[in-house]
Amino acid sequence: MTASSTGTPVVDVWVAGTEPYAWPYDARLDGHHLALVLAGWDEGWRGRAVPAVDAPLAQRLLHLATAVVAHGGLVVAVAHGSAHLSISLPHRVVSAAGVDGFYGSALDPLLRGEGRTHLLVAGHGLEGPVHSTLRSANDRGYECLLVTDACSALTDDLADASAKTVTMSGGIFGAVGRVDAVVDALALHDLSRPAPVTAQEA
Amino acid sequence: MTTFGPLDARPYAWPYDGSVDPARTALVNIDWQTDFCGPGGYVDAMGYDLNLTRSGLEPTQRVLAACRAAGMLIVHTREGHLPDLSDCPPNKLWRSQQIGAGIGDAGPCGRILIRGEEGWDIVPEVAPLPGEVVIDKPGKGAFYATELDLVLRTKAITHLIFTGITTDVCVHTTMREANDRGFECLLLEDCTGATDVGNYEAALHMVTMQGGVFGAVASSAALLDSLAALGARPTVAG
Repeated sequence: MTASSTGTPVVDVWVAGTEPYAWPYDARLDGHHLALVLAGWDEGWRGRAVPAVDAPLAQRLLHLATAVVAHGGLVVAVAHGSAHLSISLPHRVVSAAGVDGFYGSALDPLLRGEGRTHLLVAGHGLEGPVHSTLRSANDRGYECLLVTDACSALTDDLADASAKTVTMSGGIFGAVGRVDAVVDALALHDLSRPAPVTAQEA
Repeated sequence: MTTFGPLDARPYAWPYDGSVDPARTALVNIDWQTDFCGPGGYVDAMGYDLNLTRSGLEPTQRVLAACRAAGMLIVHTREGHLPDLSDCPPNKLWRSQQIGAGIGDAGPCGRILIRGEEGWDIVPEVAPLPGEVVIDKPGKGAFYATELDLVLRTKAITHLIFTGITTDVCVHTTMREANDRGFECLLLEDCTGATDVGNYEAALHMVTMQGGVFGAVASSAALLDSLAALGARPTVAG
Protein backbone atom coordinates (compact mmCIF):
# COMPACT_ATOMS: atom_id res chain seq x y z
CA MET A 1 0.00 0.00 0.00
CA THR A 2 1.24 3.47 -0.87
CA ALA A 3 -0.20 6.91 -0.37
CA SER A 4 -1.61 9.05 -3.17
CA SER A 5 -0.94 12.75 -3.48
CA THR A 6 -4.09 13.44 -1.46
CA GLY A 7 -3.04 11.16 1.37
CA THR A 8 -5.70 8.58 0.52
CA PRO A 9 -4.36 5.03 0.73
CA VAL A 10 -3.83 3.59 -2.72
CA VAL A 11 -4.55 -0.11 -2.93
CA ASP A 12 -4.02 -2.27 -5.97
CA VAL A 13 -7.48 -3.41 -7.02
CA TRP A 14 -8.49 -5.34 -10.09
CA VAL A 15 -11.89 -6.59 -11.16
CA ALA A 16 -12.03 -10.38 -10.93
CA GLY A 17 -12.45 -12.52 -14.02
CA THR A 18 -11.89 -9.88 -16.68
CA GLU A 19 -10.50 -10.85 -20.09
CA PRO A 20 -7.92 -10.74 -21.59
CA TYR A 21 -6.14 -9.01 -18.71
CA ALA A 22 -6.88 -8.09 -15.11
CA TRP A 23 -8.66 -4.74 -15.41
CA PRO A 24 -7.69 -1.98 -14.98
CA TYR A 25 -4.17 -2.22 -16.37
CA ASP A 26 -2.81 0.10 -13.67
CA ALA A 27 -4.77 -1.51 -10.79
CA ARG A 28 -6.13 1.92 -9.86
CA LEU A 29 -9.83 1.34 -9.41
CA ASP A 30 -10.63 4.64 -7.76
CA GLY A 31 -14.28 5.70 -7.86
CA HIS A 32 -13.29 9.33 -8.26
CA HIS A 33 -11.54 8.54 -11.53
CA LEU A 34 -14.29 6.20 -12.69
CA ALA A 35 -17.32 6.74 -14.90
CA LEU A 36 -20.06 4.40 -16.05
CA VAL A 37 -20.94 5.35 -19.62
CA LEU A 38 -24.39 4.10 -20.63
CA ALA A 39 -24.40 4.24 -24.42
CA GLY A 40 -27.54 3.70 -26.46
CA TRP A 41 -29.45 5.08 -23.51
CA ASP A 42 -32.56 5.98 -25.47
CA GLU A 43 -35.87 4.51 -26.54
CA GLY A 44 -34.62 3.78 -30.03
CA TRP A 45 -31.68 1.57 -29.09
CA ARG A 46 -33.43 -0.10 -26.17
CA GLY A 47 -36.30 -0.93 -28.50
CA ARG A 48 -34.03 -2.79 -30.94
CA ALA A 49 -32.80 -5.30 -28.39
CA VAL A 50 -33.72 -8.91 -29.13
CA PRO A 51 -34.98 -10.37 -26.89
CA ALA A 52 -36.52 -7.24 -25.45
CA VAL A 53 -34.71 -5.74 -22.49
CA ASP A 54 -35.89 -7.72 -19.48
CA ALA A 55 -36.13 -7.11 -15.76
CA PRO A 56 -32.91 -8.95 -14.84
CA LEU A 57 -30.84 -6.77 -17.20
CA ALA A 58 -32.50 -3.63 -15.88
CA GLN A 59 -31.70 -4.79 -12.33
CA ARG A 60 -28.05 -5.49 -13.19
CA LEU A 61 -27.72 -2.07 -14.78
CA LEU A 62 -29.18 -0.42 -11.69
CA HIS A 63 -27.00 -2.55 -9.41
CA LEU A 64 -23.89 -1.47 -11.32
CA ALA A 65 -24.88 2.19 -11.49
CA THR A 66 -25.73 2.23 -7.80
CA ALA A 67 -22.33 0.84 -6.86
CA VAL A 68 -20.55 3.31 -9.12
CA VAL A 69 -22.37 6.29 -7.63
CA ALA A 70 -21.88 5.02 -4.08
CA HIS A 71 -18.12 4.90 -4.61
CA GLY A 72 -17.78 8.37 -6.07
CA GLY A 73 -18.12 7.38 -9.69
CA LEU A 74 -19.93 9.36 -12.36
CA VAL A 75 -22.81 7.92 -14.40
CA VAL A 76 -23.17 9.40 -17.87
CA ALA A 77 -26.06 8.39 -20.11
CA VAL A 78 -25.74 8.93 -23.87
CA ALA A 79 -28.84 9.39 -26.00
CA HIS A 80 -28.59 9.17 -29.78
CA GLY A 81 -31.45 11.13 -31.25
CA SER A 82 -34.46 9.63 -29.52
CA ALA A 83 -35.91 10.16 -26.03
CA HIS A 84 -33.33 9.31 -23.38
CA LEU A 85 -34.12 6.73 -20.75
CA SER A 86 -34.27 7.55 -17.10
CA ILE A 87 -32.36 5.90 -14.30
CA SER A 88 -33.25 6.42 -10.65
CA LEU A 89 -29.82 7.71 -9.68
CA PRO A 90 -27.85 10.93 -10.04
CA HIS A 91 -26.52 10.96 -13.58
CA ARG A 92 -25.54 13.20 -16.42
CA VAL A 93 -27.05 13.03 -19.88
CA VAL A 94 -25.30 13.89 -23.15
CA SER A 95 -26.77 13.83 -26.64
CA ALA A 96 -24.69 12.36 -29.45
CA ALA A 97 -25.15 13.20 -33.11
CA GLY A 98 -24.61 9.63 -34.27
CA VAL A 99 -23.99 6.10 -33.10
CA ASP A 100 -20.68 6.93 -31.39
CA GLY A 101 -21.22 8.65 -28.04
CA PHE A 102 -18.11 10.80 -28.57
CA TYR A 103 -19.03 12.25 -31.95
CA GLY A 104 -20.96 15.49 -31.84
CA SER A 105 -21.40 15.33 -28.07
CA ALA A 106 -20.05 16.79 -24.84
CA LEU A 107 -18.93 13.38 -23.59
CA ASP A 108 -15.17 13.84 -23.90
CA PRO A 109 -14.99 17.29 -22.25
CA LEU A 110 -17.40 16.10 -19.56
CA LEU A 111 -15.28 13.08 -18.68
CA ARG A 112 -11.99 14.99 -18.82
CA GLY A 113 -13.42 17.87 -16.85
CA GLU A 114 -14.52 15.50 -14.12
CA GLY A 115 -11.15 13.72 -14.09
CA ARG A 116 -12.54 10.38 -15.25
CA THR A 117 -9.82 8.21 -16.77
CA HIS A 118 -11.34 4.75 -16.27
CA LEU A 119 -14.62 3.86 -17.96
CA LEU A 120 -17.14 1.11 -17.48
CA VAL A 121 -18.96 0.92 -20.82
CA ALA A 122 -22.44 -0.59 -21.03
CA GLY A 123 -25.92 0.15 -22.32
CA HIS A 124 -28.18 -0.73 -25.23
CA GLY A 125 -26.89 -1.82 -28.62
CA LEU A 126 -23.72 -3.69 -27.64
CA GLU A 127 -22.77 -4.09 -31.31
CA GLY A 128 -23.90 -0.53 -32.10
CA PRO A 129 -23.50 2.54 -29.87
CA VAL A 130 -21.82 0.64 -27.04
CA HIS A 131 -19.08 -0.64 -29.34
CA SER A 132 -18.61 2.61 -31.26
CA THR A 133 -18.32 4.49 -27.98
CA LEU A 134 -15.89 1.94 -26.57
CA ARG A 135 -13.69 2.20 -29.67
CA SER A 136 -13.59 5.99 -29.53
CA ALA A 137 -12.94 6.01 -25.80
CA ASN A 138 -10.01 3.65 -26.26
CA ASP A 139 -8.47 5.77 -29.02
CA ARG A 140 -8.73 8.75 -26.65
CA GLY A 141 -6.71 6.91 -24.02
CA TYR A 142 -9.47 5.98 -21.57
CA GLU A 143 -8.96 2.63 -19.84
CA CYS A 144 -12.17 0.77 -20.66
CA LEU A 145 -14.02 -2.23 -19.32
CA LEU A 146 -16.92 -3.47 -21.43
CA VAL A 147 -19.45 -4.81 -18.91
CA THR A 148 -21.08 -7.43 -21.08
CA ASP A 149 -23.96 -8.45 -18.83
CA ALA A 150 -24.98 -4.81 -18.49
CA CYS A 151 -25.66 -4.55 -22.24
CA SER A 152 -28.49 -5.46 -24.55
CA ALA A 153 -27.74 -6.58 -28.09
CA LEU A 154 -29.47 -7.16 -31.40
CA THR A 155 -28.67 -10.89 -31.28
CA ASP A 156 -26.73 -13.25 -29.04
CA ASP A 157 -24.25 -13.91 -31.85
CA LEU A 158 -23.51 -10.21 -32.23
CA ALA A 159 -23.12 -9.92 -28.46
CA ASP A 160 -20.56 -12.74 -28.43
CA ALA A 161 -18.65 -11.33 -31.40
CA SER A 162 -18.65 -7.85 -29.88
CA ALA A 163 -17.03 -9.16 -26.72
CA LYS A 164 -14.54 -11.36 -28.59
CA THR A 165 -13.40 -8.46 -30.76
CA VAL A 166 -12.39 -6.55 -27.63
CA THR A 167 -10.21 -9.34 -26.29
CA MET A 168 -8.11 -9.72 -29.46
CA SER A 169 -4.42 -8.82 -29.42
CA GLY A 170 -4.12 -8.50 -25.67
CA GLY A 171 -7.19 -6.26 -25.35
CA ILE A 172 -7.28 -4.13 -28.47
CA PHE A 173 -10.08 -1.93 -27.06
CA GLY A 174 -9.69 -2.75 -23.36
CA ALA A 175 -11.12 -5.67 -21.42
CA VAL A 176 -14.47 -7.35 -20.80
CA GLY A 177 -16.01 -8.18 -17.44
CA ARG A 178 -19.24 -8.65 -15.52
CA VAL A 179 -21.40 -6.60 -13.17
CA ASP A 180 -20.99 -8.61 -9.97
CA ALA A 181 -17.21 -8.62 -10.23
CA VAL A 182 -17.13 -4.84 -10.74
CA VAL A 183 -19.39 -4.28 -7.74
CA ASP A 184 -17.26 -6.60 -5.59
CA ALA A 185 -14.05 -4.85 -6.64
CA LEU A 186 -15.49 -1.43 -5.81
CA ALA A 187 -16.50 -2.70 -2.36
CA LEU A 188 -13.01 -4.10 -1.81
CA HIS A 189 -11.48 -0.79 -2.74
CA ASP A 190 -13.48 0.88 0.01
CA LEU A 191 -12.54 -1.47 2.85
CA SER A 192 -10.48 1.24 4.49
CA ARG A 193 -13.12 3.91 4.03
CA PRO A 194 -16.46 4.74 5.67
CA ALA A 195 -19.32 2.47 4.67
CA PRO A 196 -20.60 3.30 1.20
CA VAL A 197 -23.90 5.06 0.69
CA THR A 198 -26.67 2.56 0.11
CA ALA A 199 -28.90 2.51 -2.92
CA GLN A 200 -31.84 3.87 -0.92
CA GLU A 201 -29.87 6.88 0.21
CA ALA A 202 -28.40 7.65 -3.18
CA MET B 1 -21.64 8.06 -68.16
CA THR B 2 -20.16 10.27 -65.53
CA THR B 3 -21.45 8.39 -62.52
CA PHE B 4 -21.37 4.80 -61.35
CA GLY B 5 -23.78 2.69 -59.37
CA PRO B 6 -26.01 1.42 -58.04
CA LEU B 7 -23.92 -1.70 -57.58
CA ASP B 8 -24.80 -5.07 -56.12
CA ALA B 9 -24.30 -4.81 -52.36
CA ARG B 10 -26.01 -5.83 -49.15
CA PRO B 11 -28.22 -4.97 -47.40
CA TYR B 12 -29.02 -2.44 -50.14
CA ALA B 13 -27.76 -1.55 -53.62
CA TRP B 14 -24.99 0.98 -53.06
CA PRO B 15 -25.02 3.92 -52.89
CA TYR B 16 -28.30 4.76 -51.19
CA ASP B 17 -28.71 7.72 -53.56
CA GLY B 18 -28.50 5.57 -56.67
CA SER B 19 -25.25 6.63 -58.27
CA VAL B 20 -22.24 8.79 -57.58
CA ASP B 21 -19.61 10.77 -59.44
CA PRO B 22 -16.12 9.30 -58.96
CA ALA B 23 -15.00 12.87 -58.24
CA ARG B 24 -17.15 12.75 -55.08
CA THR B 25 -15.84 9.34 -54.08
CA ALA B 26 -12.70 8.32 -52.20
CA LEU B 27 -11.09 4.92 -51.96
CA VAL B 28 -9.81 4.58 -48.40
CA ASN B 29 -7.14 1.92 -47.92
CA ILE B 30 -6.76 1.22 -44.22
CA ASP B 31 -3.42 0.25 -42.68
CA TRP B 32 -1.90 -1.97 -45.36
CA GLN B 33 1.32 -1.75 -43.36
CA THR B 34 4.12 -4.23 -42.92
CA ASP B 35 3.38 -4.15 -39.20
CA PHE B 36 -0.03 -5.67 -39.94
CA CYS B 37 0.46 -7.81 -43.04
CA GLY B 38 4.16 -8.14 -43.73
CA PRO B 39 6.70 -10.69 -42.52
CA GLY B 40 8.34 -9.53 -39.30
CA GLY B 41 5.70 -6.91 -38.59
CA TYR B 42 3.57 -6.33 -35.49
CA VAL B 43 0.86 -8.89 -36.33
CA ASP B 44 3.49 -11.44 -37.28
CA ALA B 45 5.25 -10.82 -33.96
CA MET B 46 1.99 -11.55 -32.16
CA GLY B 47 1.92 -14.99 -33.77
CA TYR B 48 -1.11 -14.65 -36.03
CA ASP B 49 -1.45 -16.26 -39.46
CA LEU B 50 -0.32 -13.60 -41.95
CA ASN B 51 -2.41 -15.13 -44.73
CA LEU B 52 -5.52 -13.89 -42.95
CA THR B 53 -4.46 -10.26 -43.21
CA ARG B 54 -2.79 -10.60 -46.65
CA SER B 55 -5.68 -12.29 -48.47
CA GLY B 56 -7.26 -8.98 -49.44
CA LEU B 57 -4.12 -7.52 -51.00
CA GLU B 58 -4.52 -8.94 -54.51
CA PRO B 59 -8.14 -7.83 -55.05
CA THR B 60 -7.26 -4.48 -53.51
CA GLN B 61 -4.56 -4.01 -56.15
CA ARG B 62 -7.20 -4.40 -58.88
CA VAL B 63 -9.58 -2.02 -57.10
CA LEU B 64 -6.83 0.53 -56.57
CA ALA B 65 -5.95 0.52 -60.29
CA ALA B 66 -9.61 0.91 -61.31
CA CYS B 67 -10.29 3.69 -58.84
CA ARG B 68 -7.17 5.55 -59.92
CA ALA B 69 -8.27 5.22 -63.55
CA ALA B 70 -11.74 6.51 -62.65
CA GLY B 71 -10.20 9.61 -61.10
CA MET B 72 -11.21 8.96 -57.51
CA LEU B 73 -9.39 10.45 -54.57
CA ILE B 74 -7.11 7.79 -53.12
CA VAL B 75 -6.50 7.84 -49.38
CA HIS B 76 -4.08 5.62 -47.50
CA THR B 77 -3.93 5.39 -43.70
CA ARG B 78 -1.15 4.26 -41.39
CA GLU B 79 -1.33 3.58 -37.67
CA GLY B 80 1.81 4.60 -35.83
CA HIS B 81 3.27 6.66 -33.05
CA LEU B 82 5.86 9.38 -32.67
CA PRO B 83 9.35 8.06 -31.92
CA ASP B 84 9.20 9.36 -28.33
CA LEU B 85 5.77 7.68 -27.83
CA SER B 86 4.33 10.99 -26.66
CA ASP B 87 1.13 10.23 -28.59
CA CYS B 88 0.79 6.67 -27.31
CA PRO B 89 -1.70 6.19 -24.44
CA PRO B 90 0.03 4.34 -21.57
CA ASN B 91 -2.58 1.58 -21.50
CA LYS B 92 -2.07 0.89 -25.21
CA LEU B 93 1.67 0.69 -24.65
CA TRP B 94 1.22 -1.60 -21.62
CA ARG B 95 -1.08 -3.99 -23.49
CA SER B 96 1.30 -4.30 -26.41
CA GLN B 97 4.14 -5.12 -24.01
CA GLN B 98 2.04 -7.77 -22.27
CA ILE B 99 1.76 -9.75 -25.51
CA GLY B 100 5.43 -9.41 -26.36
CA ALA B 101 5.10 -6.88 -29.17
CA GLY B 102 5.72 -3.63 -27.34
CA ILE B 103 5.12 -0.45 -29.31
CA GLY B 104 8.50 1.19 -29.84
CA ASP B 105 10.41 -2.03 -29.15
CA ALA B 106 12.95 -3.24 -31.65
CA GLY B 107 11.49 -5.72 -34.14
CA PRO B 108 12.65 -7.37 -37.35
CA CYS B 109 11.35 -4.34 -39.32
CA GLY B 110 12.49 -1.58 -37.01
CA ARG B 111 10.71 -0.22 -33.96
CA ILE B 112 7.19 -1.62 -33.80
CA LEU B 113 4.43 0.83 -34.85
CA ILE B 114 6.73 3.83 -34.95
CA ARG B 115 6.37 6.40 -37.72
CA GLY B 116 9.19 6.30 -40.22
CA GLU B 117 10.20 2.72 -39.50
CA GLU B 118 10.22 0.02 -42.17
CA GLY B 119 7.45 -1.99 -40.49
CA TRP B 120 5.18 1.06 -40.31
CA ASP B 121 5.29 1.71 -44.04
CA ILE B 122 2.67 0.52 -46.51
CA VAL B 123 3.49 -2.72 -48.30
CA PRO B 124 4.69 -2.31 -51.91
CA GLU B 125 1.67 -4.05 -53.45
CA VAL B 126 -0.62 -1.11 -52.62
CA ALA B 127 1.90 1.66 -51.97
CA PRO B 128 0.74 5.26 -52.41
CA LEU B 129 1.63 7.12 -55.58
CA PRO B 130 3.06 10.63 -55.30
CA GLY B 131 0.24 13.09 -54.64
CA GLU B 132 -2.12 10.61 -53.02
CA VAL B 133 -3.42 11.37 -49.53
CA VAL B 134 -1.66 9.57 -46.69
CA ILE B 135 -3.16 9.88 -43.21
CA ASP B 136 -1.06 9.05 -40.16
CA LYS B 137 -3.18 8.14 -37.17
CA PRO B 138 -2.33 7.33 -33.56
CA GLY B 139 -5.40 5.18 -32.95
CA LYS B 140 -7.66 2.69 -34.63
CA GLY B 141 -10.03 5.21 -36.16
CA ALA B 142 -8.67 7.31 -39.05
CA PHE B 143 -10.78 10.34 -38.11
CA TYR B 144 -9.64 10.79 -34.52
CA ALA B 145 -6.68 13.18 -34.13
CA THR B 146 -6.08 13.42 -37.89
CA GLU B 147 -6.83 15.74 -40.82
CA LEU B 148 -8.94 13.14 -42.68
CA ASP B 149 -12.35 14.79 -42.20
CA LEU B 150 -11.01 18.18 -43.30
CA VAL B 151 -9.31 16.71 -46.37
CA LEU B 152 -12.44 14.84 -47.46
CA ARG B 153 -14.72 17.85 -46.98
CA THR B 154 -12.30 20.20 -48.72
CA LYS B 155 -12.34 17.89 -51.73
CA ALA B 156 -16.16 17.64 -51.56
CA ILE B 157 -16.07 13.89 -51.02
CA THR B 158 -19.41 12.35 -50.02
CA HIS B 159 -18.93 8.62 -50.64
CA LEU B 160 -16.23 6.32 -49.25
CA ILE B 161 -15.12 2.85 -50.37
CA PHE B 162 -13.07 0.89 -47.83
CA THR B 163 -10.39 -1.76 -48.11
CA GLY B 164 -7.82 -2.73 -45.54
CA ILE B 165 -6.94 -4.44 -42.32
CA THR B 166 -8.02 -5.49 -39.90
CA THR B 167 -11.74 -5.70 -40.61
CA ASP B 168 -12.94 -5.76 -37.03
CA VAL B 169 -10.52 -3.21 -35.63
CA CYS B 170 -9.23 -0.32 -37.72
CA VAL B 171 -11.53 -0.74 -40.72
CA HIS B 172 -14.67 -1.02 -38.59
CA THR B 173 -13.71 1.82 -36.28
CA THR B 174 -13.04 4.11 -39.25
CA MET B 175 -16.23 3.08 -41.05
CA ARG B 176 -18.24 3.77 -37.89
CA GLU B 177 -16.62 7.20 -37.61
CA ALA B 178 -17.26 7.96 -41.29
CA ASN B 179 -20.89 6.91 -41.09
CA ASP B 180 -21.53 9.16 -38.10
CA ARG B 181 -20.02 12.04 -40.11
CA GLY B 182 -22.52 11.51 -42.92
CA PHE B 183 -20.32 9.77 -45.48
CA GLU B 184 -22.04 7.02 -47.51
CA CYS B 185 -19.81 3.99 -46.91
CA LEU B 186 -19.09 0.76 -48.76
CA LEU B 187 -16.84 -2.03 -47.49
CA LEU B 188 -15.32 -4.45 -50.04
CA GLU B 189 -15.52 -7.83 -48.33
CA ASP B 190 -12.74 -9.55 -50.29
CA CYS B 191 -10.40 -6.56 -49.86
CA THR B 192 -10.26 -6.83 -46.10
CA GLY B 193 -9.22 -9.41 -43.52
CA ALA B 194 -8.79 -9.99 -39.82
CA THR B 195 -6.62 -12.08 -37.55
CA ASP B 196 -9.71 -14.13 -36.64
CA VAL B 197 -12.18 -15.45 -39.22
CA GLY B 198 -15.10 -15.28 -36.80
CA ASN B 199 -14.38 -11.65 -36.05
CA TYR B 200 -14.14 -10.90 -39.79
CA GLU B 201 -17.56 -12.43 -40.43
CA ALA B 202 -19.10 -10.71 -37.42
CA ALA B 203 -17.66 -7.37 -38.54
CA LEU B 204 -19.35 -7.73 -41.93
CA HIS B 205 -22.61 -8.64 -40.20
CA MET B 206 -22.32 -5.56 -38.00
CA VAL B 207 -22.31 -3.42 -41.15
CA THR B 208 -25.31 -5.07 -42.77
CA MET B 209 -27.47 -5.40 -39.65
CA GLN B 210 -30.51 -3.21 -39.21
CA GLY B 211 -30.75 -2.22 -42.84
CA GLY B 212 -27.13 -1.10 -43.04
CA VAL B 213 -26.54 0.87 -39.87
CA PHE B 214 -22.94 1.65 -40.93
CA GLY B 215 -23.33 1.38 -44.72
CA ALA B 216 -23.13 -1.59 -47.09
CA VAL B 217 -20.90 -4.52 -48.07
CA ALA B 218 -20.04 -5.60 -51.63
CA SER B 219 -17.51 -7.70 -53.50
CA SER B 220 -14.70 -6.05 -55.41
CA ALA B 221 -16.12 -7.61 -58.58
CA ALA B 222 -19.38 -5.70 -58.12
CA LEU B 223 -17.47 -2.43 -57.83
CA LEU B 224 -15.23 -3.21 -60.79
CA ASP B 225 -18.26 -4.08 -62.96
CA SER B 226 -19.89 -0.82 -62.02
CA LEU B 227 -16.75 1.19 -62.70
CA ALA B 228 -16.31 -0.54 -66.08
CA ALA B 229 -19.67 0.92 -67.10
CA LEU B 230 -18.11 4.36 -66.80
CA GLY B 231 -16.49 3.47 -70.10
CA ALA B 232 -13.52 5.18 -71.58
CA ARG B 233 -12.89 8.13 -69.37
CA PRO B 234 -9.94 10.43 -69.50
CA THR B 235 -7.58 9.55 -66.70
CA VAL B 236 -6.44 12.26 -64.38
CA ALA B 237 -3.08 13.59 -65.35
CA GLY B 238 -0.23 12.50 -63.12
